[in-house]
Amino acid sequence: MNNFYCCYLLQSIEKPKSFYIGSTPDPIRRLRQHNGDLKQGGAFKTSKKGFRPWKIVLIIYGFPSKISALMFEHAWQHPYQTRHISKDLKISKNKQTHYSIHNRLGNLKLLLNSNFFLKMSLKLFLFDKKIYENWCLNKACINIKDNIMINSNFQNFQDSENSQEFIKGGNYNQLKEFFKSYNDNKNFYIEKIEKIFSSLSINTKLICQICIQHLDINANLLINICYHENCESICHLKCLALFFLKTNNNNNNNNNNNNLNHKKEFKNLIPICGNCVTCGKFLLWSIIVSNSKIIKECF
Amino acid sequence: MGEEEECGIGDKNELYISTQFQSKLDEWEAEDDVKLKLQKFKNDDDYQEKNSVPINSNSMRRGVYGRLELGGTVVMDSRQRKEEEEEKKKKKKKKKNSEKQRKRPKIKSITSHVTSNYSNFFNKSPETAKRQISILKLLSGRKRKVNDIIRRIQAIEGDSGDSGAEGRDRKSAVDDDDDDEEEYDDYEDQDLDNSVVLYKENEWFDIIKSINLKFPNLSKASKLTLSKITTSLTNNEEKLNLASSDGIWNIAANPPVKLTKDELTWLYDLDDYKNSDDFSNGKVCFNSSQLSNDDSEQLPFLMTLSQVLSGTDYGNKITKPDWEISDSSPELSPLPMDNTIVTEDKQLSRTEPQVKNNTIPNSNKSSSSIIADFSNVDGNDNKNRDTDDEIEEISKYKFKLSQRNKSQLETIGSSKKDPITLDTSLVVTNNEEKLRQQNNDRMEDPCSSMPDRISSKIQVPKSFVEPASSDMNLIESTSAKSPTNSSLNNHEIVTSSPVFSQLKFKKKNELENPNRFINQVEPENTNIVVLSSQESDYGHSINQLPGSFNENENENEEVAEIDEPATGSHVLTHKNSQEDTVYSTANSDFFDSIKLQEESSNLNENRKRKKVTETTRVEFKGKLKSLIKEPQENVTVMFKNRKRKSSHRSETNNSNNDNEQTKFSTTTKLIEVKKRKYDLDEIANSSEDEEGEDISVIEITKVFEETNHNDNSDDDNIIQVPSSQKSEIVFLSIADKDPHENVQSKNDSGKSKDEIYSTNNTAIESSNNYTNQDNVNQQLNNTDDEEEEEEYEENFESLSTQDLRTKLNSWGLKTSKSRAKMLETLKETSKLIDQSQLSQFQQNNNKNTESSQLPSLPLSQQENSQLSVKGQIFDKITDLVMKNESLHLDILMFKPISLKYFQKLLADANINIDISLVKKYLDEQGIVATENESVNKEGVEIDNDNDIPDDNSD
Repeated sequence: MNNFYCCYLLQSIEKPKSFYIGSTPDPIRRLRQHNGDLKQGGAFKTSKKGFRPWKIVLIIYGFPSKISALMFEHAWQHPYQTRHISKDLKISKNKQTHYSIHNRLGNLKLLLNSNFFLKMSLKLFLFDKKIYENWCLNKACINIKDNIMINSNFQNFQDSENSQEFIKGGNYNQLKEFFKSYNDNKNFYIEKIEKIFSSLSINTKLICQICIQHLDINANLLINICYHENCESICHLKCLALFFLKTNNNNNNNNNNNNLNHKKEFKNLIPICGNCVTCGKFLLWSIIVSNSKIIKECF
Repeated sequence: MGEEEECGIGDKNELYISTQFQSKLDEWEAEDDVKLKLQKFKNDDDYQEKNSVPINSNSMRRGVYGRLELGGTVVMDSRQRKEEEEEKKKKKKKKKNSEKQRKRPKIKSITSHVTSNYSNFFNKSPETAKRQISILKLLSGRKRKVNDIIRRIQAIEGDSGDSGAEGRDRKSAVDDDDDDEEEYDDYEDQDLDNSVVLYKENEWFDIIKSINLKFPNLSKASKLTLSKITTSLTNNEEKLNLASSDGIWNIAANPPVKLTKDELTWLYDLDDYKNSDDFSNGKVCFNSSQLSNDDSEQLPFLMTLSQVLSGTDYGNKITKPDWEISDSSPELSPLPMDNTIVTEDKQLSRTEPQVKNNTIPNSNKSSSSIIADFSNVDGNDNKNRDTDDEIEEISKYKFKLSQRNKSQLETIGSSKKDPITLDTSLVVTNNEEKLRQQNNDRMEDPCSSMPDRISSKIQVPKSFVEPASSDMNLIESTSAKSPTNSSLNNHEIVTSSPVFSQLKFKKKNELENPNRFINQVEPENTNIVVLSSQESDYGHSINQLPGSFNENENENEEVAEIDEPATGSHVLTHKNSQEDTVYSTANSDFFDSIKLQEESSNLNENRKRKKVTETTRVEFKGKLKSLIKEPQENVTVMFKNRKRKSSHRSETNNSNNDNEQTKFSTTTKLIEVKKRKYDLDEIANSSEDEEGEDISVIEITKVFEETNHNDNSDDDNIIQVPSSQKSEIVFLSIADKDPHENVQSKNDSGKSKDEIYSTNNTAIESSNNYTNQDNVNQQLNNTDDEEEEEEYEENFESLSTQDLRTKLNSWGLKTSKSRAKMLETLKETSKLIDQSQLSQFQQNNNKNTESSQLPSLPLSQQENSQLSVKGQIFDKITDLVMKNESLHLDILMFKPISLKYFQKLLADANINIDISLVKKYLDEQGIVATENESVNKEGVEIDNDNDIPDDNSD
């Protein structure tokens, strides 16, 4: 699980009103720890009697670094005091009010909307239909912004034949499916890169599409390849960033006159999204970053 | 005390007590022991003294525990020692004996009794085993469990190959167990024949003797049972039924699972006459005839009391109405407690509102008393009142109150009854069906006409309601209509009418409606008697039908305006009337502002007809603080934030008025100062405007009828505040001559001053965009920046600490305790920001609002300044970062960055800002910053991912 770090929401199967928030690079292993299958690894708070087994109902992934995931987790666990939720918007104002699922989801949404985590373009994956319904119910009336992707897979993969059900309960199969798809996506990208680079001979020069300068793979620069199908545009990461920032700023300025919101938008260092130079398709910056890391690893 | 002696069981002197008592006894015993010990210590002394060997007084004496001591050491002769030891032993023995004796008190615990007598289960005779088992069952109360356990034990024992006899016994026991459960079918056949294990014969006879003594007059039944038992006892000596009979005890303790037909008839006093109608309605009035049917299918014979009652004498004697409303219907109209339903046609015609719960003509005393009863009747309450008196069958749809009431009290239910709800039943015999249907109508009647509280109580099961037929009847009020089948055809009306009309409708109908529920409040009365405002309450309640209150909207508005206390609690929702918004509570600034604009504009227009108006718009920021009348060359005209207090406004109003008056009187000038968010003149009552210091723009209009006022030439007035260094607004009057403009003022200290600011003069610090006035602009632009800075700096230091703080707040900076620090921060930030930009920002925002003409949240003055300061600072930092490419790249890659490194960077660039502001910046930009020291050369933290799984445990 390279570079994978996620925050998760646990729900007790025995007591469905009990939840637990945590973060981990390996949810399956972590779930086993929670359920008591693996003894090493803590999870004391979930080892209480009568609460096991647990299942993971919600995963937030796409964190660019471990620290950011930890920050997110801490903020989610302490929504009444975190600085990422402004006082106006707070749902939970003290320790006692953040335990219900609605509040937890509401706080999650608030965090996802916060400026800090917005830039990371996190992704959400839901495993449980009821949680999803609550999400849609949106009791706290918070709408999240567009660049957060939500996926779900509510199927319960009950593998009766599989003797590897370590413990009763725990949605290990769902998690496995999730990771399958996740890795599939990754592999798809890797294959694409390999294709491209294999097709290149030594002599062919790569040119950054934006700055139209030589692009040296071997150098330490980071590059990006558009991750959509059929588009093989390559560019410097930085060039792309600047390009995105410019376009975004322009858009903002154009909108300002009609802007209902008085709030001045600060200049951004990190773009959130943009359009590919060649194919024009929508690109999310966080994905671009992760892909460029992959490229760096491959070469 | 525990139970009395049970005759014939064990020793007559034995008593059985609870374990609690036993424990107490133990405690007491322990105490007694201690006491004894203490006494004995005393006695020891005496004893020793008596038998003591003469001791030299010099050395020997008694020490602790009675031992001889010599100078602190214990000295004893060996002989003495022996003696002592022997004595001790004796004492111990005595103790033991006494304890034993004590341990056999008259009071004996059950456990001890049982264990002593029955401890060896299978070694003893089967009889004792039987007794043990029966006692166990008796005491445990869980017969079946005990049976199971015993069976298992026996099975185990049986398997292990015990002696044949015992095995037989056990098997028979097992078999008998099985038989037992089936035997419950026939109560008569039951194990009376099988021995009563609980008692031995002797015991039983003793019991009977004592019973006969104590209860000489036994009923036949009981005598019978006793005799039966005795016979069974005598007969069953030889039978070895281990676990078969549970004795009378258990039989009596548990209800029989199934009752035979005879039992039921006996139990429920059924007769054979029931209508099939009742049954088709689903009412559970079962007959003995029905009993003959399959027991298990239709009706559960084990049922609640309410079900039982429905079929009992209670029901039999009353001819039940078919249309009983049991529970779960949708909301029904409330019962008129005021008995208006009552019976006679005259009453039917009554349309007047009737007061609740008061004596009503034609009401009986009984009715009033019954009303009280009604209030107590819940769905769960099935008070079985004697209805024998009551039920009269009425030929018409007249119901006597008493009947109705009492029959209502029956709460005759159905098996599907919702226990929480009530049902009413009015006794109508001839037209039962119609009434029932009528009820059904009522049920379908959207009881949204009812206030919410009632609807929750009443539910009639729709399942029992047969659909409305053409004969649907609702009782109408009109006397013309006789209570016959044809009379009540208002079903359609009822269902279709909107709420309010329903209410009115109810006036007529519900008086007579027999289907009122007991606990309901009559809405009519409440509605009618109540103020119109309350009606509007109804109209506004969420659960009621919408759209029905067109009639009353006006009322609502009126109410709103009047602001009656009756509706005080009632929230005025999104009402149309303008005035509502005036009264709306906080966060209505925007609306107010818009409205004020409108109104002021209206007023302006009005006035304009008469007079010539000149408008000048002054944009400024900051708070208005005070107005200084005296024209000065520099500055000093300051406004105060109007919005702060309502008193303020009133005063300003006054001031305005005064000014106006004066102006009228003197110059016949009307000067209206419009402020965007509040109109000085117009809304005297708009006291709800809250907070916000939002003055961003002041429109000043001058209206003059005459042209004598050269003063107010185009060179107008006032204006603005280019960003003042102080938090106060500096209103510099340009040039002229305008004597007075009305502005409110308020001091820092909060006192309001009414000052008219003069529009004289002089040079004003430059600021950018002001409407209308070129002069102003020119003048404004004339100042130098340097001068500004100097002035600012000077101003910083000249400000009091309080002012410094407010200034810092306005810029969104953190205040510190010492003045020096605050000064520093101010200076630093002032370097960073451009004052002109502040104002520009302001103006841009305002322009946007104006141009867009869309509702937008007006930012407070402070917020604006904060934002602008923030923005400027942040932009500078971003510029700085962008220059540093490596850093920028790391940020783009979402790498965590060391905070210290970042701070260094800022410091190098002479951007000295508070760390909190730095953190805010980082949050805003999505930069992850840590305080971790692990940095590489570039100052970027090394990635820690992946190698070791690191789970964050909570």
